[in-house]
Amino acid sequence: MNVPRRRFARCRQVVLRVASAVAVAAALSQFPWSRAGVMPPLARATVAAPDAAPRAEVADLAALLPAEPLLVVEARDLGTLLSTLPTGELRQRLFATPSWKQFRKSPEHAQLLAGATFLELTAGMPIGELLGTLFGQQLVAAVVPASGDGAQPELLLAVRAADADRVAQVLTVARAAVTAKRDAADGSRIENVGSDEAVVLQGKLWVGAVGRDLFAASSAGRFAQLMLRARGGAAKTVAPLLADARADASAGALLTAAIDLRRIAAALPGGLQLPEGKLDAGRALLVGDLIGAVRRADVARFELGRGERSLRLSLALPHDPAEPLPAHYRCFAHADAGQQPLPLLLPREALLVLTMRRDWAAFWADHGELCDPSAEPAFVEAKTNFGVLFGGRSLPDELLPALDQPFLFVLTRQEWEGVTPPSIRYPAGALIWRTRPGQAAIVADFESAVLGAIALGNFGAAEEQKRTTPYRLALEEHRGTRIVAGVVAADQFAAADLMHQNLEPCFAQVGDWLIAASSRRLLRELIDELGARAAAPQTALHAPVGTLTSVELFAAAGARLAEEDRAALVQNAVLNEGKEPARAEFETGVLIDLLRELDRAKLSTRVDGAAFHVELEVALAARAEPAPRAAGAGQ
Amino acid sequence: MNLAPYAVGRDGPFGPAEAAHLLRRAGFGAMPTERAAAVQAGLDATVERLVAPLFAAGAEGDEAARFAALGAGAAPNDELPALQGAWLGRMVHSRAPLAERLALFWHGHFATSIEKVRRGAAMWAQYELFRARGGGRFGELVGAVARDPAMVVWLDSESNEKTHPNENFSRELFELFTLGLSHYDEHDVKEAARCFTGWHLKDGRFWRNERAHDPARKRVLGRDGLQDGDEVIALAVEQPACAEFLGAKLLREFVTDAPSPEAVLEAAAALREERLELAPFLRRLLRSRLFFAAEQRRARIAAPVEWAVGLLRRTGSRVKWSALGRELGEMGQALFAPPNVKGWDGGRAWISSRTLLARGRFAASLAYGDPALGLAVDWDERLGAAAAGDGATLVAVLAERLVDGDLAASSRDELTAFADSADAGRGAERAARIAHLMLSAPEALLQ
Repeated sequence: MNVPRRRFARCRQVVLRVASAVAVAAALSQFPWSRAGVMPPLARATVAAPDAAPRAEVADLAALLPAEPLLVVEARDLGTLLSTLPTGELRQRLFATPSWKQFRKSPEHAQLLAGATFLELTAGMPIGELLGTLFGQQLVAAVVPASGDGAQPELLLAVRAADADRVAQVLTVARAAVTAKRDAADGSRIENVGSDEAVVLQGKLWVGAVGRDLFAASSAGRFAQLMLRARGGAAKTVAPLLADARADASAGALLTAAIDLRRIAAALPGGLQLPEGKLDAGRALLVGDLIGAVRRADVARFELGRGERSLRLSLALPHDPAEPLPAHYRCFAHADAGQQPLPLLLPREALLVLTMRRDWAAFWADHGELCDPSAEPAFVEAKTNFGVLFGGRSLPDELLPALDQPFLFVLTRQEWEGVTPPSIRYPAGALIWRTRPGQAAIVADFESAVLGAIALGNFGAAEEQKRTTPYRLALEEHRGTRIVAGVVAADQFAAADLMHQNLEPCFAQVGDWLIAASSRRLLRELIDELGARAAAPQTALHAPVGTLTSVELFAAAGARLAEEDRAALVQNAVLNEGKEPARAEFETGVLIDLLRELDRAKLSTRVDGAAFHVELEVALAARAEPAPRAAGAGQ
Repeated sequence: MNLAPYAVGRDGPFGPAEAAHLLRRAGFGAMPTERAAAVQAGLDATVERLVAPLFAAGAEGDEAARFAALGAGAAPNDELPALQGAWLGRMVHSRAPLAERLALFWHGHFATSIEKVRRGAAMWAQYELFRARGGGRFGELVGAVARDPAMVVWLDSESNEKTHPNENFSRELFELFTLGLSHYDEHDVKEAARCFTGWHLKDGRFWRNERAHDPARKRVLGRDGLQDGDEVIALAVEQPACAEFLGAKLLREFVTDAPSPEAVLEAAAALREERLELAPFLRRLLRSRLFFAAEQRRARIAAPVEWAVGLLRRTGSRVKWSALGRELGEMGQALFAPPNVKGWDGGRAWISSRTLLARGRFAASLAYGDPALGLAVDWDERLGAAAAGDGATLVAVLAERLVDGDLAASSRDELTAFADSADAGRGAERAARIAHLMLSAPEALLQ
């Protein structure tokens, strides 16, 4: 941007801010307290705190909460983190993206800017400071059982800010907003609760302050209780639910939460409604044991932590080691999780890597208890089809029992050296199983099945008079491993249809590993990787001990693939979702920019002796992927 | 003299009703402002504005061109809904609606279905062929279609060899493309098939397979010495019956479901004068007394695509284009998938209990919104103050927008009474109800 344009952009910002300020002043001039000459919140004059009497501050806000909450949340120094968001690295990276630059030209951006400016002027402080105040140095919130005649659980909130002035300022703004709605029907008002003044927001939330502590509650009674304790009522201890969560928390955790599952289940008319036995086969296979873990846990603990460029959300479901999961969860192999870690494979241009531990035969045997009855036809169909493909072998009785627990699924971005890439580029995928000892014979069955599938595909296409280039059988060797594949001849590649250009069904066996892939290039890479693992097991990649399921997404390769398929993504958004072309292009751009800013995301489940854990981690890229040149992209 | 020019003033006015009629038949209908602009410009200028883009590149506008690009991009995926969606989007946004109407006409005339062709790219290329050459010389168009890969597959030209000729293409060339049911015999079909032997494909492109071609001289339609398919096409097109056959079809498409024999003869004569070139013929037809005759107004049952596209253009509603393609299939007109080699019969054949229900469902979806189809009309925004006005105002504004103001007096009275009643509701809800009733009326199905 050249100098005159920069100056113009700055002038425009100033004009917008001044215009907003004028608009705010005009609006505020309508407030009755303003006409009465009360100082508007625009001025940062000292405002007397509601409680001027000196008192000893409670050391730990959490001690003010009732002893037996249903749910409790605590955040430490979250305000400090949030206060840096409007000016930190994240903001800079966002502003540098092409999507943001495009967004800045839109009317929505002007509205956003005006809104942010109005908020800052109203609050009398920058947004970062406002966030810092509202989330404070310590924030505790709890949901507690209903008191008195109430039927609904109640909410309590306490925030310790940096100083009393900021708290008073926030309260003054709230008071002014409520006062301006003097005759409002929504229940907003100022109310005296005992000796304290509460700002009541929409008849649902009572808000007040003591010194630098801000308090809120969803009923007058709970509000009075909080204020009384804050002013030095009888000393209380921290609720055991939170104390235990604190004890288990990692150092530097931003947020800790705990839910008392037993008490909630007891309080609900029908208990805790969980979808056990109501899942489709896919979901049951992936997360069935999570439901079992929730069912037998007394509490659930959450934690939000951060790394240098990552956030991590954890869920722990402690359980009594003497209380195992019911027998129909045996397919999730919790008992074996600590013995041998799951292998990890990381081919080039990986988009997704899933590794999990499942006893396939046990899952089939117990699927009646894990899955919804409507999933049964799918199992019947699978048994029939696999029986045909595997020459009469029984899927549940012969094939599945031959498979060991570790299973991997990988997706990678395809690279197209030496050929003109297809107009729409699909990722390549591979399924990798390990066989149980003594099950070598199954390899021949898998090879035959792959050959049969290729022939069936060709025959089916011919039968439908589908004019498509058929797959021809290809047998090749790679590092001593035989690969069986269906391929389109190189000289026919350009004339082949899209599916055939993207897909080469192939299969290989490496030691006791079976690999079925959609691309020979990927298959060769996996053969290399499995071979290297066997040669040097001490350097092989593994998931952490105890891992049951781990799925990891890699954003950089995803960004490259999305850029290549940008036109197809826009086309899908326009034709199938009915979006306007310009909007579809913008949203696709946002997706690609987002992928460039991310490094990876990982979701995993694991068990140790005492708890079932679910963890989600999202990491930003260390440096944004540069946008590729326009030539060749998305062709 | 049916095709004599309609003399504005002497034969009648060129007012809003005439402009609406012209823009409905030669396009997909128009907004009140567009009708007013047409009246202002006059008949000749409006017809010229409709016909000229048949040959002008880029005349369709940027939005339509975007959908054209989307269709070309979607084609390799062989997904019918995506192809349908792209064409429909192009129709709705096009500033050259006559080009799309003509492409649609040729798509029904040279009916080819993806169900057999199986290649989205080939189907899209055929559609683009109709768009590019649909307004030109008919003979040249037939020659191009005979070489079109989708047509080669559709009518099994690839199995037409000198040792065992396949008569599919030659039969349809005479019966469906050029002459109609009579004016040729079985001998002509067989001999013509021999002329087209070797018209094959190689790597998806047209290829003359000389090895499979029968070079001997044949006798077709009474003429000796023909060797090749191009000669057969030229001969068929120059037959007097061709102009009559084509003229009748064009009259059914643009004027009336049941053209009189006199009108057909006149149309044929006009076509011959223009050497079977479509653009100048349409220029004459759209300015003719026959076209503007009172009995032709609202006398033709709108095909599902014309009807739905017209409504979307008038209401400005968003839609999930692929889903719209499927809905039109339910109404009896699935783009890129005509039911058989004859295409769509049209006329009364559009109306059956099943298709009428489908149209009713679509009318309701458009009026009230439908997330499954992505349909959403903001009636408050579209109608402005009229949405909150009295019943008469609301009905009048909706009628102008949805049915070009053509509402029977009795219908208008009934709708007004309902709009003023408490049952109709208020605001956008009321407007949606009235719109639904209006679109469900029989008049709304007629062009």
